[in-house]
Amino acid sequence: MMFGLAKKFDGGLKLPPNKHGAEAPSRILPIPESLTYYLTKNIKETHQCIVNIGETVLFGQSIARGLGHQPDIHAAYGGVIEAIGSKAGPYDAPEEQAVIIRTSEYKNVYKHDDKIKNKSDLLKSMGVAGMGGAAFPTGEKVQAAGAPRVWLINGVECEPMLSCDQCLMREQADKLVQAIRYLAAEIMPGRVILALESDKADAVSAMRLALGDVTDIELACLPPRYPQGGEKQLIQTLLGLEVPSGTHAAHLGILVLNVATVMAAFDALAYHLPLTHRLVTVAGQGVSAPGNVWVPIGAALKDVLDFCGYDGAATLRVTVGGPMMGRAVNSLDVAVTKGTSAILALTAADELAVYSAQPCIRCGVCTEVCPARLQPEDMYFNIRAGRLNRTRETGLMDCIACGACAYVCPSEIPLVASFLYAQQICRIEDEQKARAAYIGDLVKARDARLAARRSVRMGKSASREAAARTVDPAAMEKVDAAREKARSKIDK
Amino acid sequence: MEMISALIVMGALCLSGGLALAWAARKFAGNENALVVQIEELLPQTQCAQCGYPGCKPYAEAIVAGEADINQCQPGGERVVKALGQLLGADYRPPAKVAEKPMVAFIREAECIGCTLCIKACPVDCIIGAPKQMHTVITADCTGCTLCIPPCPVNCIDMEMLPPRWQPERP
Repeated sequence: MMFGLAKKFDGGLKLPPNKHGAEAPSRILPIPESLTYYLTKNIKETHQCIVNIGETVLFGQSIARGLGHQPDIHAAYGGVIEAIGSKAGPYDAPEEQAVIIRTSEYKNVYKHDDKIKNKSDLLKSMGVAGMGGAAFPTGEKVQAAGAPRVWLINGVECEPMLSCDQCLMREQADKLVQAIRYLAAEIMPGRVILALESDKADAVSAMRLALGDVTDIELACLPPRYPQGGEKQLIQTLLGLEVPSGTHAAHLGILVLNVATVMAAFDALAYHLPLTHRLVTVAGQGVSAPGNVWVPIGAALKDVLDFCGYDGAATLRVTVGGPMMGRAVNSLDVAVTKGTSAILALTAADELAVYSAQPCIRCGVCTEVCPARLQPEDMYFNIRAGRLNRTRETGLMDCIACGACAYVCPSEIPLVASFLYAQQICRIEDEQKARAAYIGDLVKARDARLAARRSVRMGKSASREAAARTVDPAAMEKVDAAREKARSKIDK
Repeated sequence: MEMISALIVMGALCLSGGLALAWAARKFAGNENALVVQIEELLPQTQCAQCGYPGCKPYAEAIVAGEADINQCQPGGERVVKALGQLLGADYRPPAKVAEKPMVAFIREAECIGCTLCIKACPVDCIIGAPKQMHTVITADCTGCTLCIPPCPVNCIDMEMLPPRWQPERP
């Protein structure tokens, strides 16, 4: 195949796939009693709630408007808004603002009006976000790419244990091909490539069968490697191009969308169906029936895990996302979001990473495996010494948090955790600087306004004085005559 | 004779060196305005006057003039002291006043008489209202400087605490 000689991205690892339950047919989660939708991310406001407590919402009704490019949020089942308040969240901050729906009304479907014609606005109002993990607003991505040179459809799913994209491609291959063709007509790319890894034989054969004689969609079967599914890594592998630091794929005229995102975008554009459900991998030794489950966005982890035979006593850690990039959660009340690709119940048998941070022996393996070509050990020392600016100069913001460095580190140093921490601190600093600049602008605007008013006033008083000085001589004579008259009366 | 020529040569050398230094001192004098701008960029621009100067720029000018210390900015806290110390080569010292949690002004609208005095006091124009109409604060723009509180004749402005911003923990 033409991709046999494809360039490889730098670094990377070969990881055991451990895709338990990948072959099992997908199941559907029974309707949960309550649904939780987050309005904030790390306490920063991302969505504005547009419903009130006690209000009844229908299936698919918009309950929160996304700020900026953020996609809107829709109810996955009808019900009554029970609460709007803090709730355990899946991000770094322990609690997030959320809307909680008690499900009760299943019959009626909310009808969205089809006034919006612009495709990126429609994607935003239908709540489509990247479903590979980062939940990047799809509307913004499509808009930034314009008519891309290459459109990559990402079905790589390189992270161990995850199999939701594989399951989706196997079960809905025909719909995926239809979706790709529909979207290709909308976004007019120069080339369309669907990328998969060769070890997912069932998905590969399903896609081959569905594609049949179609020639305008190229199928790229890549040898498995982690983190090949990363946007920048996939571009490097398939096209031999490196996305420059601080830019996006759109700058190279490339659009990359995950397979599940393509399906959601198709539903949104063709049928005006909002994104309300997603396929989630439930795996780990802590569940007796691992596999892929159709879950309404907003369902609690507890509901999903219980459906798959969760053993709470044996489970040591529950993570949202895969074993490499996922985050451990403290509470099972955390809800599924658009970016939740997996829920893992990990036990001692799953070889949990325990960071006991021995001193660095400068072996340099972390540098070898880094797909972003960074020097993790150097960045780590700078972060430990509090030299965040130096870390930034050496590419902290280019770290994609794939976890390859921490995985190979023989001293078990929590490298990625440090980078994520430093990235957060840098983002907060940037925000503070931007706010200071904004407030500075407000002050300048006020000063300018006051100065303008002052000069107008001075101008007015000056013109008044000038007017007093240049009086009509005829009028002055009259005044003088009147004065004389008055004086003569007084004299009398 | 030789001694005299040596004296003349050395004297001329010294004089020319001195003149060159005097010229260089004028020509390459540190630009105070540039330093003021650099300092001002580090300040949080809240214009709160809690440092004792009427705004961030006057405070920056006072630092350059040697009148103010680098630890007087209350909203900036430790971060600004460190940054200023780095810029000016001064030793670190703890902030003079410990910054309280972020606050915003809130007008109890039922009690507001619409006098517009607070609007005139606000350095960032974040209070809206009109004469004899109630006023309100644009919370997103309020810097919590408290300058609107003294002019209010009916004491209807409260300072409310914002929810503390979450900070990541060091791993």
